[in-house]
Amino acid sequence: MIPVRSPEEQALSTMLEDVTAGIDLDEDMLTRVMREGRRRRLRTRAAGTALLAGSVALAGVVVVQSAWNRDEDTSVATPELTATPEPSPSAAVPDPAMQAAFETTRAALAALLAVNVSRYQEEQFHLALDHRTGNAILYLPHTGTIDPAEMGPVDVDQLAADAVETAQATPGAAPVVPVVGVALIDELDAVSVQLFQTRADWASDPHDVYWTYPDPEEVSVTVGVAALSTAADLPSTMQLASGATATIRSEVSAAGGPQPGGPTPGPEPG
Amino acid sequence: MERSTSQSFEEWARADGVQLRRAALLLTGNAHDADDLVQDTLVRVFAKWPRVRTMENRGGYARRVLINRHLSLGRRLQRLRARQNLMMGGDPAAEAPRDAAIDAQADLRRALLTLGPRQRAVVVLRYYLDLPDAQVAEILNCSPATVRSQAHRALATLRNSVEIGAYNQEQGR
Repeated sequence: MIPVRSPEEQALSTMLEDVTAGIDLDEDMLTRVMREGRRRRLRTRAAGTALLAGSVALAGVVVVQSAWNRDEDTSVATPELTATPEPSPSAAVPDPAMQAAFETTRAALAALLAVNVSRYQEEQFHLALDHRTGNAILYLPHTGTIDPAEMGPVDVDQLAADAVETAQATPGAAPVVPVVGVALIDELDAVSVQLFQTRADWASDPHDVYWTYPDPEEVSVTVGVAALSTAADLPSTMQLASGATATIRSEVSAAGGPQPGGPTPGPEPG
Repeated sequence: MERSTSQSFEEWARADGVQLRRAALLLTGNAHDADDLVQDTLVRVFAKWPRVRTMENRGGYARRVLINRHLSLGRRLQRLRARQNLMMGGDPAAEAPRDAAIDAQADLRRALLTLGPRQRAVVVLRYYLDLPDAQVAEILNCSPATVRSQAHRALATLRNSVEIGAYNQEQGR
């Protein structure tokens, strides 16, 4: 359906077209994009080789990973389709044994997490705890298969499977559940967006909520408020679509003042 | 496989990249940030191209990535640079205009920078890319009513700085 615009709106459309009329595609930029794309694939392959060698030395015994299910139908939605998680005020704080198992898992997967070389959060491995089940949720950086013919396949899935085996062979580690097709930062972004959009529902005064900020390193969303009492009704945790639990924090902030690290006023879709 | 993947991406990028770059210029207000934004967007689309290439609306996916990147990573930096440009006269649009049309276009670019990132995104998606409100709302993860109200406010703000309504008449359109 063609939108109906007023004469003023039509004039604005014309002005915007005129403003950008002299802009064409930059061939150099396209070359850089193609080079960067190929470089990432090479880098991932190199990291995979290094981790595979480390995993073999660590694990010793190969255990079949039953939790590693490659059935696409059971995978979490792709990032752009991630459902906005519902608040879960009842999400439990992990008990010490659960937390200890998770830390053991994190240590067992240190080699995997160390290959996070991309500057983009959604292209990194992340580990988060499901506070309800005690499972460690392992987010994979890529979806689908990347198989450059000239270089050989870059099998991120195999990389993760090896890491899962390593964790399973580690005494005291929590079960690892790989998540395919969604990035932790996207899930946290969704929560961040939801919190900001629904601030009228939970804040004592929605005007005193200045920003929300997702942090994949800490698996948290921080809310910038005028006073801590503004967010007194916020749940302390929220369940993500993949099962992991995000911690919700409040932070006193200056009005509209972005904080170091990049929190942003307003929602940030995917 | 790799060659065909790269080739199909390059073909798509040549077709849709121009519009992305133009939209990015409107979103960021300067060529340097616009190119950073477009390059970032294209690299991301390329990284997921095996999946994206199967989509019916690849351009829509790319526009969504572009807007999301604009709203997230670059937001604070863009706002800071926009203010600096306005204060220091660093914005190319602030250079001496050559005629009334260019004058009005420069006014518009300056005025766009006074909008918030989301309002600017609404203007670009609604008036430059000519997307219906439902699609704009989907991209921005808000309701169509919010899109309309944001557009209304953005127009009111732009109207304070630019005589939009007279533009087409002055250009003989």
